[in-house]
Amino acid sequence: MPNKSPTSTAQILNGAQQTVAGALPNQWTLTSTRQASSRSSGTDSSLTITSPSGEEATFAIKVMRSPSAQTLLVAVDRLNRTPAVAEGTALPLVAAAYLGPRPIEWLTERGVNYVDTTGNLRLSAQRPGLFVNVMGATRNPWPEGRPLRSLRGRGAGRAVRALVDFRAPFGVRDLGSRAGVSPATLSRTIDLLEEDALVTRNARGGVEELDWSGTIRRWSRDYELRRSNTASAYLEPRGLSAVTAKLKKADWPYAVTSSLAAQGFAPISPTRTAVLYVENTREIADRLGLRPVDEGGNVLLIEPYDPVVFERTSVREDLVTASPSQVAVDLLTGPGREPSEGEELLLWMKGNEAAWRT
Amino acid sequence: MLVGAQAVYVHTGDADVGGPEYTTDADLSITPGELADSPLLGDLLAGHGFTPREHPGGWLSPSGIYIDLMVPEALSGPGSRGARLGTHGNRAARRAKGLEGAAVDRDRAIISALDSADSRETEIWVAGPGALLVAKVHKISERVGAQDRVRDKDALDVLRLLRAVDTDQLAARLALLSDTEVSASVTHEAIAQLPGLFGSSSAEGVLMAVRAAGGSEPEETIAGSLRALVDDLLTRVAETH
Repeated sequence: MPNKSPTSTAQILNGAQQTVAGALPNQWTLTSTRQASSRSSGTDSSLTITSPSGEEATFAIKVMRSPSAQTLLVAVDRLNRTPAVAEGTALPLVAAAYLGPRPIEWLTERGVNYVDTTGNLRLSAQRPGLFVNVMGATRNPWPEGRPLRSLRGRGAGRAVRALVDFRAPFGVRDLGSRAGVSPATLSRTIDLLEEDALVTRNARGGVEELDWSGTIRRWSRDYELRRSNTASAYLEPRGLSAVTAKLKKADWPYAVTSSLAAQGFAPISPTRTAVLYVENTREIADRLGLRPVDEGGNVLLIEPYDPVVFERTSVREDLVTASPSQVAVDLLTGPGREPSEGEELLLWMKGNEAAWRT
Repeated sequence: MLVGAQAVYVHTGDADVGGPEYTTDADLSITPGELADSPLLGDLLAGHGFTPREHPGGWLSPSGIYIDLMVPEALSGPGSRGARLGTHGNRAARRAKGLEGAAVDRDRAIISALDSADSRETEIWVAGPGALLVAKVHKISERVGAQDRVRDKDALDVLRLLRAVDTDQLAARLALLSDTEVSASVTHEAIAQLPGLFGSSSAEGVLMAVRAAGGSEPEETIAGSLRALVDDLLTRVAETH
């Protein structure tokens, strides 16, 4: 098993091949062919196993970088539809750096062969008659090594907020302790942003420069206010001014975001819905005297993806207002005129960097 | 005393419906029993440069502001348009149904100029929120089915009142009006009309308010707000009685 997580397709194939080679009975041989055009064929490689009597079984291999029930479903389906598998000249085989108990169970239930670089292996063929089932690691030996694929998650959101709200240059550990984010998460988030050329690293691995508005836009591709958080709609029949009057007297944590927050930075259109981050939606709805509604709500209470929404707030027009970086991504992913309000806020942030970045 | 939209704004400030509202027309209600025999209303107004308009009670100020003098119908004596005001005649003010409460539920208020450079201010009687609600409901119900867009703003004034005035206070004012002889019957009628006018998204009063708000808030928000506030008010009114 390699010390570092194999990340490239070639590294994973190499490791997988070693697992297979180590598990085959004496006098069986193994040859592999790396496919040239993996994308169109749905496979990354093929592996041929030859029995002592000269019979051959060929496996069409799909390398998975982050195997999960969802990605496996797609990959196995594609694998089954490749010509060689569909015609019965090859058997499907999924390869990964590491396959956990759940993906293994999923694959076993469907009779799909698998191999990983830690020694987990299941190969089954009728001709030549072959069945190998070996157990490797049951826990991911490289838990932090998986590259981040999206900024959707809670940790990524927290990391993006830190990267944007604090001014580079900074070291990863230093920023991690200032913002309360694990350095591993920060590091993976930086890796992802680096792929989009949004950060420049220095020689020591820290962040030299960061394109904060590009980073917020990149975040808005994976994050969405109403889907990444738990949102519930309410009506304040006395209108938004009644809501803000009550908020000004609130002694519990909240942070306004979206259009109502934009009024404190770069107002361009009147607020129709007050969007508030709160810790407990039901409790706060009671305190504010709001009524739950299916349609026509003018208040959206949001239990946030992470308590970071309550950090680095400011008081604007007497309302506790989320950090502009949070408000911007919420507006960019909001309905109606909100995305254009988000653009306006980004302009304000550019002109007033000293007011919100530390 | 001041009634109509101007009086509503005294109570609601710029309650956030359809943005700030301005009207230059002023509606004033007169209680005949409180009127002295002299000076005569017509003489007083003419002396200040007001000219009578075609309809009874209508006057035009020298600076071009319309005012309407009205008398609650229950106090107007016989007739159909002009109120019978004894020595003041039948043309100084017109009769209006629904204003009966203005003599019962009313507050003293200081009215000042909108222009901060203008220091004029005067203390007058202003109809209270209960009396105004009753008056607006009568005005709206008279026009139901008339497709009269001019009246749409009366429904929005109802929403303004319901939003700005505390429900308990409004219910207390209505209780006072119900318990006072001169205003009891118009108040009972108005309360009975509320559910039909504002109780569902397709009720006439709701549609009028939605039109008058002109998209400043989603239709469902206006409808839901009116429904909720009318429900609350009727619940409190029922509890008070």
